[in-house]
Amino acid sequence: MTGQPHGGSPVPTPPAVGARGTRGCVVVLTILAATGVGLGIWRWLSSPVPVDPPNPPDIADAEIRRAVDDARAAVTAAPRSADAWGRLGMVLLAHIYEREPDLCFAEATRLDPTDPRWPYGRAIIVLKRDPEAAISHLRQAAAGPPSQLRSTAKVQLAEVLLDRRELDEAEQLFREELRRSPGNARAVYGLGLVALARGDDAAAVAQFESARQSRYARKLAAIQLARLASVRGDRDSAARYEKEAAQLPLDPSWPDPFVDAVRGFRVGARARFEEADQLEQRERFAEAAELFLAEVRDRPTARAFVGAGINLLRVGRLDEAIPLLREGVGRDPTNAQAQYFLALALFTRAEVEYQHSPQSTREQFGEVRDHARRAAELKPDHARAYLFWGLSLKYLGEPAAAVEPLRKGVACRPEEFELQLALGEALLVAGQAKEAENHLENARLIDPKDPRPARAIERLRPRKE
Amino acid sequence: MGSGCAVLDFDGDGLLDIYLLTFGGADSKSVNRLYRQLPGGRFEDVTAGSGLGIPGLNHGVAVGDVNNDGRPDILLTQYGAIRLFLNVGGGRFEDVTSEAGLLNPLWGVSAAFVDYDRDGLLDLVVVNYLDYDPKKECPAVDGGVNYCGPSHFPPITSKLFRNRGPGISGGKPTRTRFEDVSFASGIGRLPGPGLGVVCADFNGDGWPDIFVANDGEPNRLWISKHDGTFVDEAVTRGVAYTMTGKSYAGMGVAVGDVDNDGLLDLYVTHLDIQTNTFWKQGPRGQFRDQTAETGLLATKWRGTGFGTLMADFDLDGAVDLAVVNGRISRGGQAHDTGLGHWETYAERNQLFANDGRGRFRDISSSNPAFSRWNVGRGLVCADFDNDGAPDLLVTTIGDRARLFRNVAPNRGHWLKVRAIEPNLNRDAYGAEVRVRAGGREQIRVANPAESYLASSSPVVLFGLGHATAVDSVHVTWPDGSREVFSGGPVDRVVELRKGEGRTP
Repeated sequence: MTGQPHGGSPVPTPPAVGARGTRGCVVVLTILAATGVGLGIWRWLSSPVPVDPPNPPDIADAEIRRAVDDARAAVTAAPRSADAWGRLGMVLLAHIYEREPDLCFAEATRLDPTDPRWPYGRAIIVLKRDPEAAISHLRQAAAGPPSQLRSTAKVQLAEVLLDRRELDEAEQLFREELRRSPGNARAVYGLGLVALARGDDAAAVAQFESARQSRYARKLAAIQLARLASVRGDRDSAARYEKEAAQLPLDPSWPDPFVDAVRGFRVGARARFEEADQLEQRERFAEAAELFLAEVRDRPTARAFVGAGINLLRVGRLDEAIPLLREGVGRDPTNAQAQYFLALALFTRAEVEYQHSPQSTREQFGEVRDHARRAAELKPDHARAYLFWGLSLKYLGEPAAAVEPLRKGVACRPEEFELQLALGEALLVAGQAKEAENHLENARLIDPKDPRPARAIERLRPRKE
Repeated sequence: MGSGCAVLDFDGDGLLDIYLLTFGGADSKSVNRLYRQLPGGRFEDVTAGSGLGIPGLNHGVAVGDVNNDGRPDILLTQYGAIRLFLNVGGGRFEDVTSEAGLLNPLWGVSAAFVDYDRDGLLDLVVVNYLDYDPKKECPAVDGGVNYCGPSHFPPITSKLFRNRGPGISGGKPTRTRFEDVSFASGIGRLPGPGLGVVCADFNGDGWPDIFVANDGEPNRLWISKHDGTFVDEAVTRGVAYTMTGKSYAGMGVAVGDVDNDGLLDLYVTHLDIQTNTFWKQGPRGQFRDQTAETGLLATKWRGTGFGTLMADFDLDGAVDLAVVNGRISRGGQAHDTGLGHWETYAERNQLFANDGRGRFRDISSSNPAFSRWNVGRGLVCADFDNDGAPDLLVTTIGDRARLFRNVAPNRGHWLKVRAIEPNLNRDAYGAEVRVRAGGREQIRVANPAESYLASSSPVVLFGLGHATAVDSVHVTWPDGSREVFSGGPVDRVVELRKGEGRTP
């Protein structure tokens, strides 16, 4: 570039930028870059790093201790690694700690403010105690380019704001999420709640109808729709939605990638017991039994024996279940559940044998009575212990004596079919026809498809006449 | 969980007495205490010889005259039992649980007397909590082992006992006899972890309904079908869940009409991390979560609420709200309360003033006596000193009970109404009393069962503000009949007897 005359007058010509000028720029840029890098290194070196990552004392479980030690070692090896700090936080959070993982996530957030996992980890810890304090963490986690975790953080933030009736921002966040992920049921359900809070019932109905299609919101949405139908006087729809909601199981928790990841860090006996609980809830009893049996091998506690016995009983492996339950009762005779399940297992076997050889089962039913009675003594509201106490007395030829424990069982759990039926039958044998009929009718009401109450009532009829 | 308290005039001297519960266990030296009020506002411990000095795991108490002899009887709920004590006069009570056929081997908490079948005899609702297993272990926040929360145990059903009056049992005469109608009535068919209960006619059909606050599961609103059965209509009537569809940890229940529209509203206390919820009734029989709209989200602080009730503390004609708080686990800040082990459980109680249109303002800070640090559980309301202003009695964990005298300045005029059924010789539990004065009508229900584990007074108290005369008093009696009584001067107690009013 050269100077151009403006008009006719000469103007000073600026010095040409040649090779010398380019070199100057490079030097300046290099100095600037070096300064920046140096500053970064200085900041990095001077940034506060805790001397010691958190180390909860008194971790009795060796597996948990090892997992925590390994994660701590990784932090010690790379104290400025956000991932290492975050991973230690997740390991600790997986084992129900709160203060320590929060410290780890705070450090991880400081080291890498762009990773949504760490402020989100802090948010889910504080959400349990102080939802409003979670807002700033959720805002940080939700900021940045779209990701599944950021979406989760965003809708959670919207929900906390909704609880505070900050409806405009909540709605905006739900809508943002819907734009990113059309059909996101959590956001749709959230918009229904926003409409509800504004008194816009028609809009709420539309959103809940849409959310109802998701397995994560089916029951909740049906409940909301039942109420809204009732408010507008549409009794049929209200009844339909209410019935639907009553028949549905609880909605599963909303998907949460961070919580899933944390769950993956669980180790130790508690983790196995929790896993067994989950399996039991899904009625995968054989797998639950295997977990408890592994526990019996590794750490033979009463809990492990009883858990293994209960689940083997549930899958019909009586011969294996009974010795395990006996061992469980032997190790902890004050455990009502162990006493009860041993009674149940013995009853199940004795009842089968009774068909072929009634006399030979007398001793077994006597044992059932003793363990069931012990369970009821240990836990006086144990309805099913009373049931097997009563039923064993029936087989022992003492039906009148069965009335009292069965009465107590019904007092505890009037909604249980087997108890109402057993009491009705015991009263029938004891000659208390009127009361017997009441309980048999109750049993029929609870399970109209089971023929036994009707049969027993038939037996009553001639007697009444 | 804690233990509650009751207000009753057990000796009929016109002064309100107090019954305080303890939770020391069966072998404890600590027993429930009965205090008789003496003239001059002092109380005398008359537990000895009363029959009420009961040790044990006592939770709740309900008061009602079960045999219509004019003397209030007492029902105790315990962990694993209920016990009925008949007031036999002379300051003595007799345990008639077995004689009465009452059996509830469950975790009983709040209870209420209600004549659900309108036969003139007070029946009994017992709210049960959980099928607790002390052997169950749960991980603690600090990595150790802790008590398990309510979600780890199955819920159980509440109980309804029908009062069959005196009779014969096992060939022997009984002074009172109850029949367990839990299943037949429907109430015993749906389990729920219940903690609080109130009874009132929520749908305006003249029959008493039952609201049960559940801990972490949907509440129940048992609507009477007039034939001895109830159907839970909490979902369709809008009180099962909060506005956002959540089942919070329902504990105490307050009932009252906050904007004098003639419809009873409900307020339920929850954990501090949740919010207490206010359900406004309207149209009749329908409720909507209006916690935010009534200003009850904008509180000065949040606590884990237990006892709660509505009463017109400044007698301005609009019911205010009281809540007692206390954490359920350690970990709060210590405040040098001297509570020892319970120090970090302590929270401050709260008072909310109604602006007359159903909006509330947190006035806790200006009531330092009441808004003290404590582990609050039971809360009842009654005019202990007969000055026309409602006072408060609070029970706590780890500390003594406290009686708070109402010293609000510039209080309005008032009217106290005792609704009596002379043929039944007792207070008309379930009567709806409406007072017209100063251009407005207010409603109260005469049933002392409210709050949490507690029993207040069946005498209903109206604040009248500047009104200097009462126009009329309308009573809907428990049998559904209605009468109007003439009004008159303010600042007095009136006894309205069924049959002495005029038909409207």
